[in-house]
Amino acid sequence: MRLTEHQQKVIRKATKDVFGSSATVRLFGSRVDDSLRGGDIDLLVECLEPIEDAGQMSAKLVAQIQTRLGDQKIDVICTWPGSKRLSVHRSAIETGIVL
Amino acid sequence: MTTQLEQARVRFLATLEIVRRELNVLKYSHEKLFSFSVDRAWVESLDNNMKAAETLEAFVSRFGRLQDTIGDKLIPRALTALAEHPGSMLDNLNKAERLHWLEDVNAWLSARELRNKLVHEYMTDENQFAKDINSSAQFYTMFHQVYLELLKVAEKNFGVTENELREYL
Repeated sequence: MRLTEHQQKVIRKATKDVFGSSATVRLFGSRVDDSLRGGDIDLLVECLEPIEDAGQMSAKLVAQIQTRLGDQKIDVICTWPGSKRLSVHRSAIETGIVL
Repeated sequence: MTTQLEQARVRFLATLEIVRRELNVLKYSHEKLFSFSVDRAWVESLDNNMKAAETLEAFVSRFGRLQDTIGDKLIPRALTALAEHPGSMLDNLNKAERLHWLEDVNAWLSARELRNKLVHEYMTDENQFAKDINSSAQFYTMFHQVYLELLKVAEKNFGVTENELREYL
């Protein structure tokens, strides 16, 4: 996985600040692969309860991470029990690493 | 001969006038769009309602353009005009927050992220798209507030009023 300890800590804390303490976050996509370089930070937020406004919450999370880690491309998708799962969600759950 | 600082002042005032105009057209699209009740059914109806679809496109496009003009041009040029050194986008936003031009850097970045989502979600997720459109409504006030704060800078530091801005463009 290509995220420093500090980056992981910032992402974990921001996720809990925005989505609540029971939310967990998983890194997926190219940053999971140690043989690559650079790339977006793709995150899957997993919540126990349905999220009323996932778009606005995801935008808030991206903003919080960017203010702490600098301006970089971060993509956030969310899932909760019963939420609509696209192939990107399934693949993130299968291949992602919980931070 | 004009000094660099004078040139920077003129550039800032010209950009402020552009932002005034962009705000004006965004206000029009904002009011027009939110006169509709934007929900999933409304988004789904857009295929058969090209006029409303155009209103939506105008809003998204004007929203993005205004945010770029303020963030990438107006704020750095205001800093230069005040003999400060502009830096990265994030540095400039933080400085703007410190100078009380911008209330909250996080809200600014959220708006930018939301607008990126609007560009991509249109054809894929009508429900989420409708929600994000409604969330983006709040940001008009934020943009307007930055404009008013920088207008104060124009008045206080350079003695230029809103009515006089057009002379700089």
